[in-house]
Amino acid sequence: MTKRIGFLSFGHWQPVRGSQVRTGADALLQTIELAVAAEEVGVDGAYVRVHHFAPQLASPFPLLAAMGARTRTIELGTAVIDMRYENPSTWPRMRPPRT
Amino acid sequence: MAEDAAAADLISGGRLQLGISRGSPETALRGSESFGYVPEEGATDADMARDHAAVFRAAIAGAGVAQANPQMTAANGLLAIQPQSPGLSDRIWWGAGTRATAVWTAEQGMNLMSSTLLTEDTGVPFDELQAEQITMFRDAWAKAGWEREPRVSVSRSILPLIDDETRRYFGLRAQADAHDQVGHLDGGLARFGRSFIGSPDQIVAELSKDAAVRDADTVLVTVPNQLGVDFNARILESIAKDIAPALG
Repeated sequence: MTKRIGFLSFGHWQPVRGSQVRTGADALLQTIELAVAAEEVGVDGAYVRVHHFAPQLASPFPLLAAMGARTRTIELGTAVIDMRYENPSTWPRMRPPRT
Repeated sequence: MAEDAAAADLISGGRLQLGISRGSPETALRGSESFGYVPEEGATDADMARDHAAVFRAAIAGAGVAQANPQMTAANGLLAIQPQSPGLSDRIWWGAGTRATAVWTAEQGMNLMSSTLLTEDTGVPFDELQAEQITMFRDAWAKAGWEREPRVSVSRSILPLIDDETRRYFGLRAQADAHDQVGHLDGGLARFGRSFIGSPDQIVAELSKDAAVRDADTVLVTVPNQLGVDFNARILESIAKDIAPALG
C-alpha cells in the first residue's frame, strides 16, 4: 500500500516581512484552509504541533473540530499534545499505578 | 481533554489520530504548573505526563471516572465521560524520542510517532537509529500480544524544488541541510535528521534509501507554514503525486 503522507504544521505566526501568517487568527484559519487544500490534492493527513507560551498553535481541539467540519476524508491529528499540560478528566483515587 | 477529544472525533467522523507525549523543551520554565499540574513529590514531569496519558486513555475507553450522585441519576457506581467516541482508543499515538520509550509505547498499546530527532546517539545515521527504534517497537508490540496492527509514523523535512519560488526559498539550503546533525538537547546528546530538498526525482531516490521511512506506514512532512496556504499546498501536491507513489 502507498505510504500515507500527512502535513505537520507548527502554526508559527510572526508579523515580519515575507510572513503570510501574522497573527494567531491567521495561523488558525490558514491551518484549516491548508487541511482543505491538502485533502483536495490527495494528502492523507493534517497534523498540528502543540506548543504553549509561544506564537504557535496551542489548544488543538477547537482547531481539529473546525478542520473536521470542513473536510471529509483526511486524517486529523496532533504531533504531539504535551500531556504535562492536560487535564485528562481525572479522578485522583483511580489514577493507575505508574509503570 | 477526554471530552474535547471525543467531541472533535465525533465531529470529524472518527478521523482523529492523536499523538501525545511528554512534550519538548519549551519557552516556559515549569509551564504546566501555571495550568495547575505539578509533579508529585519525587516524580518527574515525564512521570506526570504518563500518568495523565493513562487516565486520558481510560476515560476515552469508557472507564468510570466520577462517583454517581444518587439524587440525580439512577446510575450506581462510577460515571464515564460523555460523549464516548468508539474506536478513538486505537488512534492514540505516543511520541517517542528514544528506543526505550518506543518499547514502553508498544507495551502500553499505543501507536508510535517518531519525529526528526532522537534524544540519544549511537553514532549510526539517524534513519538507521530510527529504523532500529521501529523494529524494537514492533517486536515489543508482538510480544505484548495486541491484536490490531499498530501504526507507525516518522516526520521528515521534505521540500521539492518545483518552480522559481521554491528554488528561491530553499535552493541554497539543499546542500547545507543534507546531513544529520548531532547536538545537545536537555543536557544529553541528540541526533537530528537531515532535510530532503531537491527535484521530486532526487527526493524519491534519497527517501527510498531512508530505512525508517521504509518501515513506517505514515510520513509526516513538516511545512513552512509562514509561507502561506497556496505555497504549502503546491509543495504538498508534489509530495502526494510525484513522490509518495514512488515510495511504495
